[in-house]
Amino acid sequence: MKKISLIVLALATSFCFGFAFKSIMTNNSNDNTSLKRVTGIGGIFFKCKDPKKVREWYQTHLGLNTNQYGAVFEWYQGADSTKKGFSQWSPFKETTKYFDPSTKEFMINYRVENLEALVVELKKEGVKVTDTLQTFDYGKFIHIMDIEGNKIELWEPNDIVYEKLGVQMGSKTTK
Amino acid sequence: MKNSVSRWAARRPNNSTTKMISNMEDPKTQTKMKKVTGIGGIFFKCKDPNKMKEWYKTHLGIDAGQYGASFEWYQDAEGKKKGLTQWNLNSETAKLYEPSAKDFMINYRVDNLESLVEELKKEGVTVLDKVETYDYGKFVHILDAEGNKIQLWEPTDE
Repeated sequence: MKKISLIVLALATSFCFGFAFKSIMTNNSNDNTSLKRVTGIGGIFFKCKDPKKVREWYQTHLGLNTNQYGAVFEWYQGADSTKKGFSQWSPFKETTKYFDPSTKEFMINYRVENLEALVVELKKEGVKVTDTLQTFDYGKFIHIMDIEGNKIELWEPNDIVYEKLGVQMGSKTTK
Repeated sequence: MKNSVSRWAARRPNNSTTKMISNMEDPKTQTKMKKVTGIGGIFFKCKDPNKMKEWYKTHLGIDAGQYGASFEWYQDAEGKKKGLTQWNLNSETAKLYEPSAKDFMINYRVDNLESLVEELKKEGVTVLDKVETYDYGKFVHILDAEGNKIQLWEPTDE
């Protein structure tokens, strides 16, 4: 319960500071030509008629350890194998607004290293950013659009917190 | 609030899910076989794959080339066994996704493809083709409960 209110608080805070963030970011003109951008796949989300049934199907036939949100794949980072990395897998209802304004049946989440700097750069490059950066315990998020209308989720993960949350929920990763 | 829904954050465990997992591991109901171990790839359709690859390279640093990009990671903390997740774009007319009408396809890494295929057939899962073997691994395609085509891959990671 405490966690939920913390998340709500984090959300509210990021909404309030959204405009402030935006102006700080757009005024900052760092040279980020050597910026590391996407480092891995953070998740794959897709629409389906019956997410519960789909989760059960993947659990029964393909052995995914699912919970009510999907499954989490666990691996070790290419840049440093002592650090774990995670990719989220989630079926969504067809009516979800989460992929909007994209009309596609899927959305990909990409892991990035320095989201704030990347967003500054992407804006300079004219990439369409659809929201403001949101910060949670388990990482920072923002959404952008590619040139063919696919919505993209960018995630600068905090893998340690992310793993802890899964453990707290009693969820198992798939590996 | 919605966007925390997609991941497992800050929610309490769902009892029915936990029960389901323990049933699955019950030796009486099923011998535990390791199945999918990771995401082997994500493929999606687009109008202009070349233009899109250029965009992803420029703005997100994903260098896809002709055959797509590979994200490299490790299967073990010692960094001895590499794992790859492939990322690629296909034209809208790609036959690779058929009979699925979806605009994406996911490749899952599996441990022992031949015995998994046997089991899936017994379970009544639609298997679309025969296991094909290449230098980089074995492949087969199946359909999920909603007609999404799935590529299963038993990789040779060397």
